[in-house]
Amino acid sequence: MSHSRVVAARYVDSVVLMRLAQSLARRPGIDDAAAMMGTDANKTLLREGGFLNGAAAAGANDLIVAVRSDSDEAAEVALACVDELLAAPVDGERTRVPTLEAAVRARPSSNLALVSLPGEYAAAEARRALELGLHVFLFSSSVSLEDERELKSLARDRGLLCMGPDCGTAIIAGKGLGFANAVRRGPVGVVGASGTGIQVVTTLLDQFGVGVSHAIGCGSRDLSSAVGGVTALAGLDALLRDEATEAVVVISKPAPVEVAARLRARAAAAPKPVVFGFLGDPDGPATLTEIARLAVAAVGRPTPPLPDTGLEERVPLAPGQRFVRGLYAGGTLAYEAQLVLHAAGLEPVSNAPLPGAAPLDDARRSERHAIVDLGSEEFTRGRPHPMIDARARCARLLEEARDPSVAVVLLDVVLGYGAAEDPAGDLRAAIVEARRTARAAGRELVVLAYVCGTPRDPQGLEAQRQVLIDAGVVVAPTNSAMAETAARLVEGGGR
Amino acid sequence: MNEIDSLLASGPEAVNVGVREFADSLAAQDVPVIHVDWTPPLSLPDDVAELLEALG
Amino acid sequence: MTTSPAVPSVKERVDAANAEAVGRLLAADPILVDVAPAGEVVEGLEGRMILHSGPPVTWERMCGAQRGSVLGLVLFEGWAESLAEAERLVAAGEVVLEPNHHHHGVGPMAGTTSSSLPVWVVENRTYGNRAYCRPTDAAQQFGDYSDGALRGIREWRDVRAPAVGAALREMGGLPLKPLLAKALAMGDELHNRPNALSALVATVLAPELVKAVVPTGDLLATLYWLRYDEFFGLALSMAAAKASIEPAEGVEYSTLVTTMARNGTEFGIRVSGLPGEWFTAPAPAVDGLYLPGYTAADAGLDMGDSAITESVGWGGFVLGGAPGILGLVGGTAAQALEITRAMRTITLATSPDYRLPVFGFEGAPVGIDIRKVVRTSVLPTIDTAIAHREPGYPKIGGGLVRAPLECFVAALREFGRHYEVAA
Repeated sequence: MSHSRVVAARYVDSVVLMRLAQSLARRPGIDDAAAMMGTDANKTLLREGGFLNGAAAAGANDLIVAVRSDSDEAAEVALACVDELLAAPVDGERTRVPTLEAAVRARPSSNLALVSLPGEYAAAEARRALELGLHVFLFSSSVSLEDERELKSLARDRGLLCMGPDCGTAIIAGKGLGFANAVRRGPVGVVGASGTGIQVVTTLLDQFGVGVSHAIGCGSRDLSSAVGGVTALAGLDALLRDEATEAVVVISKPAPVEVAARLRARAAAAPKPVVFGFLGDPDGPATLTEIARLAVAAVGRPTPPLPDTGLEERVPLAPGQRFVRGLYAGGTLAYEAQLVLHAAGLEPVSNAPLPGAAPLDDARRSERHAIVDLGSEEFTRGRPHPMIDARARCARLLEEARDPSVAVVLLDVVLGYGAAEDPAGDLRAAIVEARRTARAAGRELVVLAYVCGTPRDPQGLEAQRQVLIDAGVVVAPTNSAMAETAARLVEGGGR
Repeated sequence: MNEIDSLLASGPEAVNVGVREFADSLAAQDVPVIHVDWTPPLSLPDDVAELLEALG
Repeated sequence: MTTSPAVPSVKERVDAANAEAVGRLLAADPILVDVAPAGEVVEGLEGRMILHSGPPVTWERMCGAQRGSVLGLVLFEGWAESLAEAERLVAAGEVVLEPNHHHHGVGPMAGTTSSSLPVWVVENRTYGNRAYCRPTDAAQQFGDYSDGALRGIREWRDVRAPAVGAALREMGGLPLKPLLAKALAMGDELHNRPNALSALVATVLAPELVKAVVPTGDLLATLYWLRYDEFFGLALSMAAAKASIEPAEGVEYSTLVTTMARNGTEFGIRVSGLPGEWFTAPAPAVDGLYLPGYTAADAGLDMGDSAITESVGWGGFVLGGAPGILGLVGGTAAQALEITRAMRTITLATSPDYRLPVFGFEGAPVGIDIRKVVRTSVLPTIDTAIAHREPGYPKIGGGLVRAPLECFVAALREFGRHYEVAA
């Protein structure tokens, strides 16, 4: 059904009208739209297109705007915003330019470049951005160490922030860059070498009612001896100066002694508490949850207890069901799961193993307590990341279900900007099929999941959890709780 | 105020080079963003590069 | 290894040849002298022949819109009674298909031209050469062969063309150079936006039509057409561009692009120092906006001789001075300026006639150099209309397209072979 509106004596150029029609057609509930001056020729066109309802009387100097929609309400709302759309400057839309230089010329107040090009081009473009005076968020991972050092020293010389290479997540003044969650603003500043590490800690801070001032990503190699923590130091310094930040938390795998010492020296002289979350450091916090709780304590707030896993009843495992298999999209989550399993005495193997631990011989074939990072380079070269495309993980899940030695499968489901529209929904069918396969073979396959997100994420935290629960998944409150539960299960029943 | 402090104070105004969805996410958060239609720089075949050398 | 002494001299010869070629282009003085049936004025157009836009193409490889446009002219000429008969005739090779560019002509979109279709005739008074362009319309030239579409060109043939031809002959020709310059200054880029040129020409023609004693009915019909058809000026800018650049063809050692033309199947360029040769690549898709009821899925590929306007430094090259067309760029004034700036990096000269106020009255970029295109990989930007991928449809949209780099690389390689440049 088409709905129209005539704006009398309003001449608008046809190019503008084509753009108007395009904007209207993109609105929710609108199937198609047309906008033309009411000349006889145009009215014929509109009639043929089924757009002339109610506008036949319009004259050559009148503007006809029509939309096709099943919903009267959607049509009304769309037609009501015509004036606004016509008045909006073109660059109110997302604009497009051929080069970085042109972008800066088009909007001189631009202050940050997000670069997610293939590795071989990324460094050159990031360098250009820094030279143009832009901070850089460099998502690309395969950038050489020499390039990284050069970029970061250029950034330091210019007083700019070079987040990355291999920086997945940042939150600047409440705005998420790359893969990031819609986290409430609050007093905790974050500096992190790992994207999912930042996502987990910031969503937990959100859940604890505390919130985040900024989260500065520095890239996975920043705290190495070769790079020396250039970005982490710059970020830490900025957060220590920042008025909105009351305490800072640094999230990373254990850093080399001299880099850690440099950071700790800054912290010692700082007027604010700094929490060091070197995950895996025997003297530090054992889990990301613990890091988040220390950050909450550092700003003087109480930390509410975490809800229980919900897996209270004993699961009757079949004889021979003895292994935990983690199928992870987030690298740091896979790492944390290994720490937890290791602490429980299970000796996990992985394609991204803990230092000194045994690697998985073939990343594509699970064995023993295998924790697989499906977001690692070997799985994502030329393929979409599992946070965006669940197919590889679904296939692997079905393989695990056929393996009679598997007792528990661990899944992480990461929500937020950049992630898939419906990550839980993408896994649902495979989960149901996996459990059915096991049951047909006389086994009960336990599928545990951790959902990293906030209620304000585009996907909705509760809705995503519910999808998983409906598929028979036990949803854990945190990744570490999930891994602990898994360890308990196989210790109890798999002997 | 230095550049990093002013980024934190005023928030991002972004230029996106690469994955288009990152620009969409920023726009959804009301971050001003311009997307660059990036094309890989040309690498000329040797004979063409040499011709250009000769032809100026 | 020492450098051959011939190498620097080649460079110098190319620079000198380009100065000569682009000098000829800038010295052009296009005069609109007539409107006459193509069969009477276009050299070599005879019998059952239809000229088309772009480089040569066979019926088998011809795109949908151009096929539709050819069939429309077969019906218009009365060579067939029905569409099916028209198709059989063309498929049997009974109709000769040749590019407009091989006959000193150009045509917008499908560009189809046949002998009883009147064409605009522009003479370059500086060099005495003439060029032709068929009329613009929003239907038949886009591939629509319906009765309604053919009615438009019949009215042109029977009423408007005779009237305008009489007026032009009455006034002894209309110098276009000042009108082109004024139109550019009024915001035209003379390709997708010829509105000011159309209005200026209409104003000049009106009293001449009265003086030429055109019958009242025809006079009124012609005057109304001049008033309402904002696009007819494109045929004049195209004919003027073609007449202006032809004398720059065939200058030994010149790397100036003298033609960019597309047939919806291939994009082709020709180069001054390599006369008669086409360098082609698959026609690119146009990035555009669509009229109601159409989407990118309906679009044919880039088509038309109208890129002759970019070849002389109008169209996409002067987007920065044409705010009215900015919407097609899909962006801001700053981006339009950026396109014009980018075109400066691949051109040989600046226009003495059109100085862009927004660039501090610096002349517009003129004259594409294949060397500069290949070296910078900055591609000529063309703003253009969009036809349907299938025959039988009118205009469906407009947008921007970039000339394919392969054409320029192929031309450069051939240049190297032809002039035995030591590579």
